[in-house]
Amino acid sequence: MKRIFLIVLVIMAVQQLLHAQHISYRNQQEVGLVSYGPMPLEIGFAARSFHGVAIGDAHTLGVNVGVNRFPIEGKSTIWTVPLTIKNRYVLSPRRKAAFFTDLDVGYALASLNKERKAVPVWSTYDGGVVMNPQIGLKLASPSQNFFWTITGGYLYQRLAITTYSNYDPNFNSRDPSTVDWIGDFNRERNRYAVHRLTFMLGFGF
Amino acid sequence: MKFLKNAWLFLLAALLFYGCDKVTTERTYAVRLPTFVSMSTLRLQAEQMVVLPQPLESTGKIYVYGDYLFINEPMKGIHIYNNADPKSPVPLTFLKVPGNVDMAINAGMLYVDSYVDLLTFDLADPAKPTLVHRNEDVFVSLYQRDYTNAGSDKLMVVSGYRDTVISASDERIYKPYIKEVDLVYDNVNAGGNYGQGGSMARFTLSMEHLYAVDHYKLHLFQVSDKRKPAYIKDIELGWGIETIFPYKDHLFIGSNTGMFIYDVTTPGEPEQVSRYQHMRACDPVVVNDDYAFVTLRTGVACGGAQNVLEVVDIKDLTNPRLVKSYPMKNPHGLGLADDVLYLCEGAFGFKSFRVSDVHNVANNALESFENLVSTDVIVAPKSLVVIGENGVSQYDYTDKAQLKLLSKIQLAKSK
Repeated sequence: MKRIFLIVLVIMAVQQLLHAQHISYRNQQEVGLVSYGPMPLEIGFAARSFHGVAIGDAHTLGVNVGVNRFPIEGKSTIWTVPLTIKNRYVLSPRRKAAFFTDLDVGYALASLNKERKAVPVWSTYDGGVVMNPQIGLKLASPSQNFFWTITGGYLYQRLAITTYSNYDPNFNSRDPSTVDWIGDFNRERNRYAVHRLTFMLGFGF
Repeated sequence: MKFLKNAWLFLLAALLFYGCDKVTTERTYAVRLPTFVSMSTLRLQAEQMVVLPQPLESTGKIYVYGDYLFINEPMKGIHIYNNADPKSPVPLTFLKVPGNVDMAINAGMLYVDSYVDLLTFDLADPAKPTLVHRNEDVFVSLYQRDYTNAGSDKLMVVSGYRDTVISASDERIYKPYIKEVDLVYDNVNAGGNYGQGGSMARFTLSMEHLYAVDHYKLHLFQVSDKRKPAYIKDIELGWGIETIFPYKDHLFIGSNTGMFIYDVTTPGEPEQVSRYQHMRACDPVVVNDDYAFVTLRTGVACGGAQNVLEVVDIKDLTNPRLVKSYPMKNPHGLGLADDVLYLCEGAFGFKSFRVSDVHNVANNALESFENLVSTDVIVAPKSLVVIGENGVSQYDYTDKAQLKLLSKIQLAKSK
C-alpha cells in the first residue's frame, strides 16, 4: 500500500512537471512545534524537508518528508514519518513579503516507534493518513533566491497503537487458574485521530 | 488583499481552537464466564451420584474416617479410597456431588455441601454411599440472584466456567486543557452473562453439631439425629471467613483479618470468647492446649501482604496474644502431631518444625520437602496425609522428624 502510494506520488509530480510552463527546483526546510493549542502544554515537535518544483509564479508542488514527535493522551509519545504531497499557493509571489497557503496530504509511517515484542506484553504501532493545511508568511531575500517562512496550521493524523497482553484467543497455552473473570485483558487497540495545531519556521530557496 | 485579511483572520481564529485526540479503543478479552444451572435441575440428577472410581483431576479438601480416605474434587464430588493400608490406597467409588467443596463425617454419616444444599449420605457401605437426606437452601449465599436473566427461576448457581472471548469498544476525546474524558459511546458484545464467584463452605463436627462456615456466616446444624441434620441458625461473622478448627469445647475460626474463638459448651448457642486480629491475609489455624498456630499468606483471594507463621498464646482464651511471628514463603494448611508442626508451603514445598519451644521455632526445623507442592495436611492415625495440586501423598510419621513416603495418588494429568 505504501509502495503504491509512493509510485502514484512520483507519477503525479512528473505529470505536473510536464505540463508546467515554467519549471525550477524548490527546496525548503522547516522545524516547529506540534501543539494542542496556543497554550504550551504537551507539546511535540516537527521537522520537514520539502523538495519540489515551481509551477508558474504562484504554485509549488512537491514531496514533503519529515518527522513528528508528539504526546498522545498525555501518557505516551509517538514518532511518525509523514510522506506527503505538498501544494503551495503564494499570493502576490513577486512581493518580498508574501502570504501563502500550503496543503500537505499523504501517509505517515509509525515505524520509528520501538515496538515491544516479548511475552507477556506486546505492542505494535500503525501509521495512517496525514493532512496538514497551513497558512504562512514568506519573506524573501532581495535577490528572491532565498526565503524565510513562518506558518501556522492544522494537523490531522491517523494512527493506532495495539497492545497485547498474554494474548491467546484459543486459550491453548493458558493456565485456567490465572484467568480472572473480569480482568484478564488480552488485546487493546487504540485508534487515534489526532487534531493538532502546528507552528513552523523554515527557510528555502 | 481581501484574501490576505481573510487568511489572517482564519489563522487567528485557528489559534483560538484547541486540538484534541479522538480515541477509539477496541478491546478483546479472554475471560472465563460462569455458566448457571438451577438447583431444581441439579436436585433431579441426584439419583446418579455413585459412579465407578474416576481419575483424580484436581484436589480440594481431604478427610480421613477410619480406614477410608475422602478426597474432594472441587465442585465435582468426592473420591473415596479404602486406606486400610496407606501404602496402597484402593479407589472404591466416586461420589458425584455437583457444587461440593467440603465434607465431614459423623458416625458413618457423610455430610457434604452441594451448592446451597447439605446432603447426608449413609456410609454403611463406603463403596455405595446412600443419600438419606437433603437440607435444601441452607447455604443460600451461593445463589446468584442478580447476575442471570433466568426470569422467574432466579435461584441459579454457578455450575462451571467456560472460556469466552469478549469484544468491547468505546470512544473518547482527550483534551489536555480539560482533564476529563468525553465518553461518546460504549459498546460491549459478550458471549454470555457474567457474575461473581460463589463462596466455599468449611465443615467441622463438634458436640453433635455440624458447623459450616462460608465467607461470612457460621451455619449451625444439630446432628444428634445423624441421618437427618437439623438446621438451627446462622451466625454472622463478618466477611473473609476461611477455616474452622474445633478443639475441645471451642471453635477457632480463621478469617482473613483475624481468628475468632467461640465457646461451644452450649453447642447450639456458640458464644464469641475473643477475637485475635492480624494483618489481612488467609489464615488456617491449628491449636493445642496453650498455643494456636496461624499461617498468614498472600494471594489473590486473601489480599494479604505477608507470609508468616504466627504463634498465638491462648492460655487465656479471652485474651489471645501474639508470641512470635516467623517468616515463611507461602504457608497454607498445617497440622500438629504432639510437639511437631507440619506446614504446607504451597508451591514452595512442605516443612516440619519442633514447636516445644515456641520462641525458637525457626531454629528447630526438622525437614523440608521443597518439591512437594502442598496445601493441606491431616495427621491421621495411620499416616500423615498431604494434599497439593499434584495429588495426595501419605507418609509414615512414626518418627516425626523423619517422614517416609508410603504412597502417592497422582492427578491424572500429572501422571
